[in-house]
Amino acid sequence: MAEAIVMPALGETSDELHIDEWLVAEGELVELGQPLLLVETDKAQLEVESAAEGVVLKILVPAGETVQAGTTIAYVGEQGEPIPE
Amino acid sequence: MTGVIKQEMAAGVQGFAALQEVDKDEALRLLEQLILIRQFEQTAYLRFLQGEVPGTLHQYQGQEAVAVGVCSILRRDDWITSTHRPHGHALAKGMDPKVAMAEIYGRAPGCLGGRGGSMHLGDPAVGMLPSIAIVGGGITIAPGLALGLVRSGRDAVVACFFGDGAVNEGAFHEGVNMAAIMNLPVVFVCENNLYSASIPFHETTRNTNIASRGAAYGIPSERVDGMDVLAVCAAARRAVDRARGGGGPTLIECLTYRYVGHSRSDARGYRTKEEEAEWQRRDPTKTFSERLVAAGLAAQEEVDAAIQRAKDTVKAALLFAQNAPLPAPESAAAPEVVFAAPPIPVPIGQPLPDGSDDRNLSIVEALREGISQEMAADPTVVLLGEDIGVPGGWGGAFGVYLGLSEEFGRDRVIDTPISEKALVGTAIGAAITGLRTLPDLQYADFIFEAMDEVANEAAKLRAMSNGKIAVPMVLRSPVGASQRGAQHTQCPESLFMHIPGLKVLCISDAYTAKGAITAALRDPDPVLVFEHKLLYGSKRRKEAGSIDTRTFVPAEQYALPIGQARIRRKGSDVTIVATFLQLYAALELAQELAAEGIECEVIDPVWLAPFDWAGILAGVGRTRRLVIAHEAPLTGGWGAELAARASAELHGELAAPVKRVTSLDVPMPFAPGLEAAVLPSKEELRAAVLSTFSRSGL
Repeated sequence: MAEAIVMPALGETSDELHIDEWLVAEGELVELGQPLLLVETDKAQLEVESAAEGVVLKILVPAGETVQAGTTIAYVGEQGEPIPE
Repeated sequence: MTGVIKQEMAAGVQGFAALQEVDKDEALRLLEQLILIRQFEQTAYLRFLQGEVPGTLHQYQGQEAVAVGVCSILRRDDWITSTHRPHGHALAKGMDPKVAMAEIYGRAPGCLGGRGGSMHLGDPAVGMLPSIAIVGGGITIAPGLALGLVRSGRDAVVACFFGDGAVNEGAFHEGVNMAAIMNLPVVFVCENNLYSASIPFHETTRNTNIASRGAAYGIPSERVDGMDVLAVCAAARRAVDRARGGGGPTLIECLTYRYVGHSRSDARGYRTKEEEAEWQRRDPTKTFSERLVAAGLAAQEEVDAAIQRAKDTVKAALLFAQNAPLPAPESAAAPEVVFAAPPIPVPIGQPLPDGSDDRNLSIVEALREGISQEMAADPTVVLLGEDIGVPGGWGGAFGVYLGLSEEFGRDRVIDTPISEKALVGTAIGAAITGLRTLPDLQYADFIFEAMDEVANEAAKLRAMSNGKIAVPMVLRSPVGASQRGAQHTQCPESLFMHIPGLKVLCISDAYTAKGAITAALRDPDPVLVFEHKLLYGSKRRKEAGSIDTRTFVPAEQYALPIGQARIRRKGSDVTIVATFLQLYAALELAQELAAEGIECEVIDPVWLAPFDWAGILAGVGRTRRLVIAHEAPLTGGWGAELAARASAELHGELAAPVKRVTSLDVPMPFAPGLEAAVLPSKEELRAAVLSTFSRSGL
């Protein structure tokens, strides 16, 4: 099954994280630990590494938006796998 | 990187060890292990960030060559001790990555059933003690594990891992010295990653060359490049061969670096990106795989295949953990997990038996006879202590062991340095690997020196191991004021009933002394035994204020039930529950009050843990009046617990408020008049007993 990637709680004082840039596009392969996106916390800009390996099936939150830690931001899985609604 | 460390590395590290010392298969196996640990840690880290892993993680990325190098030299029946950062050690020692990951996830099939978690990975089946997350804690246990292995005739060794921070703990000094003086097969492996949590190591000591400290203990030591797996293998082989061959312990300092924070909440703001990059250039996984190919020892495809195997193993481990069942909450307090012999209900004991006068023994004589008979019956019983066996010596501070070293030899009556932490730690370790140990502390006050070993290790290792190990250790020590001021006086027994995992025995008569010490020595769990100096009846040491407690003791061996309280005198009007000197004050008072028409029942609880709540509260229910007397201070003493239970279970049935007669809540003063003013007196006890008959209860 496709794996949900959630926004990790990287902030020191805030649970809000701003997505600066996706480093991998939908349809591209990603390895475990490969930088997936750039986020800004209350303190710094950080890379978020992929917690799964496979194809980026869907990016749910585009760059430029701010989300709470714990929000599902993407799905990674095998090519053609369905993702939950 | 600090200048100090740079300079030392240049002088102390020989560079990459020769590749020709390993064959291709071994080299690829080492590489697979290095990658396995790296991948395991990266996966755990990323899944932690995904919110799947409870608690925190202390991770090992960067230090892999140390665990892999050392453990590659060990056999499965060798043991290791580890730290709060144990993932790499566990995998290198042969733990299935599935059960390791499941443990980190807190799942039922984890190596400790979810009771340990990330910081306590371990499994006796692979020769790994549940990891000890108290800095330096394993260093006093390791000599004991080794002692147990040696005494059981095995040529196994113990590798004891710890960090640079641990060498500034007293445990390091005591544990290494103990292993050295006993010539035990221990390899002390210090992983110097340059930071004790966030503090640069060089800010914590004037001597940053940890290997040089071996000289302080008269043992060989060396410093190696902890980023080079072959250098670590070579040093470990020298040390393990020495240990296995009877050459005693070695100290190895591995210079290494942890790429990640101390724990998951550590953002590493205390070190520079340049320093981190410098160490990453020497990455143990990268440099080793490159060298294998460059030296022609393995083809790139073979290296890639080894890396892929490791990654596949971790992938399977993750899937296993994610889908593993959670432990059942109703199993949280399973008695057999806390104790190897869980408490069972026993009928309350009856007044002491009578017998022939020539079998009237003192407590000291009864203890000695009980211990001596059990040593004769069970060759695994070993005594450890200060001043216990040296010829012409004391036989222990109060002469309990007089003659035992002559009878059983100094191999079984072991004199130790004045190192209470290592004394108790060694007793714990040896108990885990096959001996029944009887450590002796000269005064109960000294237990505080060994509080980590008692409270964090002895009490918890069984539960932390999910019931896989037992700690059959009996720790004896004398309590009680005897005109020695505040530090050779205390009655700390109540503190230990507050720590789950310990059994606590208070000996107030000779019959109990022999039967209960025998039971304690046969029990598979840690038992703390407290005896009162003024009740000993020691011929070697007559203390002012001593009471003659000589009583009939059968000549044959007998074991009294663990947890059995004893009614010392039957009565129907009021129950007095008392230990040590207060027990004798209560018996005297009961005699006096009988003449006045008041029948006191006097009960000695004997065991504070397991405490005979049912038997004692049943007795209180009959008399409806309860007076508690102990020498320990009032606040938080065992009497407080008994009073609380009595009020909860007998509320409405009691004819008077529960009374306690105890020492005052002050450190014990020296001058006899001051001491007497702090101690409970028979007059206070009389007043308390009579108050339970007055209408106001005052």
